[in-house]
Amino acid sequence: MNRTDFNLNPLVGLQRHSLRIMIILFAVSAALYSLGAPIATLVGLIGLGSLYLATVVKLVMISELFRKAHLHRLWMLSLALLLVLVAVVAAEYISI
Amino acid sequence: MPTDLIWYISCGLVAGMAGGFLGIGGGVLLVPLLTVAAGLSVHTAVPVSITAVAAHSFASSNIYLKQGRVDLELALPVVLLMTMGSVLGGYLHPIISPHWVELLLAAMMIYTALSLIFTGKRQDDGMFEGLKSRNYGISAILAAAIGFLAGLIGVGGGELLVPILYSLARVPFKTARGTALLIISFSAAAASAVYFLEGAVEPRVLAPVLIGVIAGSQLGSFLGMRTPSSIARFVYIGVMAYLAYAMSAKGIEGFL
Repeated sequence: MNRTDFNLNPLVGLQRHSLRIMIILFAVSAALYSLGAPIATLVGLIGLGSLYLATVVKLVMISELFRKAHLHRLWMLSLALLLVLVAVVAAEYISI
Repeated sequence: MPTDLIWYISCGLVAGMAGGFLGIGGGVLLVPLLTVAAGLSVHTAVPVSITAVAAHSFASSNIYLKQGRVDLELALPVVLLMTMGSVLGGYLHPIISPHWVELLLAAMMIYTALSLIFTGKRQDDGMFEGLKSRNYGISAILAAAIGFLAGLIGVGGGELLVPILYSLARVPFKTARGTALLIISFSAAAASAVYFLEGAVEPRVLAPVLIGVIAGSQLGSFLGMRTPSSIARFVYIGVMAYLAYAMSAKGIEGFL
């Protein structure tokens, strides 16, 4: 794999920004719990949702990076991974 | 600040630091810390732990990614096969005795620790110096086997990934840690989502644990990047030996 045509900066940026959002949300949630505010659970759940969303976006971004670098085998592999991960969660959701 | 909140943050900080430094999920440390030190039940600790592992590996992998210490080409087939193995293991869980699996995993840990000792010193600070000699296929298949065994007993299996990536795929030790963290970030997020759908994730515990884990993982990864690979490898071998002991004791206990 030729790594010179593979720009990881957007991926690093995505992880950095989503991490900041997560830290703020979980810190606010923890602070609200310590104050006994009922909205703390909602803020915590939004933080959790942001973690899942960031993971999916990260995988989509990796697949796009592979596509742009014309690494088609890895592009297909990353899409297959996305499909498997979503299928695992969906199968659990259906069984509930 | 309530005492339990401080305990949760402290547990997360310790597990996150160790996980970020060693390139493992940290769940093997967080579950005992939350149950023993913070007094939580295993049913509450495990979903919180797996979610914390997802957040921690997400945070830690970024530091390795920034430094070009993640091998994406290797990570994708490994995480794909490992997830599929884990799902299969989860389905076969009711018909295979978990104690045999625990003993088998302990034996694998001993083997990987020994292989790390006998692999000897390599050019560990190199990055991607040619890919032809690497056993990517075997590594991915072995990762599937680990995922299968881990799925059988409900653990992540991340602690076995680093030695495989280092010894079999022949990536530098720091790259093995970075790649393992990226792999764990996907598999742990999927496992966490499953627990979340079951309603098992407790946000009251999760928020402070995650704050501790993310802070700890940043510190651990920072230290990990600046520690010579030989020292990191030595620490890793020690942790593997301890985990092998704990897992074999659990397996033997199950037979008695």
